[in-house]
Amino acid sequence: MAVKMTEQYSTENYSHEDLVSLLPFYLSGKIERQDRDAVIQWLNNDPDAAFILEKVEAERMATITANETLQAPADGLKRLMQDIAKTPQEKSFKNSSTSIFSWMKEKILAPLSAAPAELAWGACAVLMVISLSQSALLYQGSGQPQSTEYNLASGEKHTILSTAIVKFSEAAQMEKVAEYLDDTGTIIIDGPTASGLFVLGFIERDDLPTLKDRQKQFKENSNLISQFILKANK
Amino acid sequence: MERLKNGDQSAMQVLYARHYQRIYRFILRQIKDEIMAEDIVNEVFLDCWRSAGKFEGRSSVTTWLTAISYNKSISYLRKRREAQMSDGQAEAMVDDADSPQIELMKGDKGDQLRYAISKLSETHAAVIDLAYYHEMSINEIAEVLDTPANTIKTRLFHARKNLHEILCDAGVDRGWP
Repeated sequence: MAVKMTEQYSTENYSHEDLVSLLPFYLSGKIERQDRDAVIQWLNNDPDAAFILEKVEAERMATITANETLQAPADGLKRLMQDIAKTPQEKSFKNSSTSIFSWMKEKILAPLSAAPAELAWGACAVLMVISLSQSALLYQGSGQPQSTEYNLASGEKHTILSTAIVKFSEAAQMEKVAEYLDDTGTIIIDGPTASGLFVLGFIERDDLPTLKDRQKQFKENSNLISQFILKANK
Repeated sequence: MERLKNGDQSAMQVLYARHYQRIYRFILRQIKDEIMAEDIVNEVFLDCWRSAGKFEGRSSVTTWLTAISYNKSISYLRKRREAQMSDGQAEAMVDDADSPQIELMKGDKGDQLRYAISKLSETHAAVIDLAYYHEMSINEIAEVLDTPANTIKTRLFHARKNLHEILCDAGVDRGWP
């Protein structure tokens, strides 16, 4: 039914039924340009069209009035918020090819196949993956930073030299993030928080530049990182 | 929606304030039961909260919420019919309202039309409401009803035709189309 933009719009491309069916959308303005032009042309050329339009307008007004007379009860929000307080949100990993969260699922949650399926994602999944071999959290301390050893679920052990709290940019692609974390010798050791923050650990690796250089490199990658909140220096 | 995805309950309050009246009206006009309409509205927003993370922004929030509302209303109506059939209520149901003709003759043209619209099937009522009151485009209605766009145009045509027939049966002939 639709015609190309370059063609002259003609009601010849529309059946009478089509044109009648378009009238409600013509009245609301929610209509494609070529459809609107066809309706206008029809209204200009067919005396009966205006009569039909008048009837459609009357139906529209009757429908609006019928709806407007219905008033929802005012206490619905209170009930909803009480229910929401008891209802956890589901997490979606649908865009697995692009999302950092999907990457985390693949890279970190995968070894957790034996873990309870209903494990809450952001709040505890990552914490379950990584077990702290020491109880002190570096990024909370105000005294001398220490190195800490982390055991990953995969069995890998890493010595954490320093930590940083970051937020990845929304456009960050998982492949890029994975590659970049590897290049900079960092691992995700906590997160995401509700606001999307992650705690990263700079691991000890002989083949990498100095920690200071790596931190600088990391901080300056604005394509992947939208916020670099805090870092603890070694 | 981003705030909602992050578990921000105040974002839910904003969303609710913005949409609940419209959603309530849509559901109530489908199921014609005020108490159940309240329950279904609550379920719709609870679903929205629960599955906010799955919202991909391919349709507007309005379309998304309306689609959830439509599905829940249809599901409720189906269950209600099944329950009525099993209880034998369908045969026992008596329409104690005035006959259509008497009802229509009482009012002006607006009343007559509103009465006739209220007699449409759920499918026709939905497409009439979405086009006229919710002012959705053909594609938006197609998303809400999960139906091809061309079918929406045909359905709207037949909904209007049915409206005409209801009016004719009651002695009001506005002419067709």
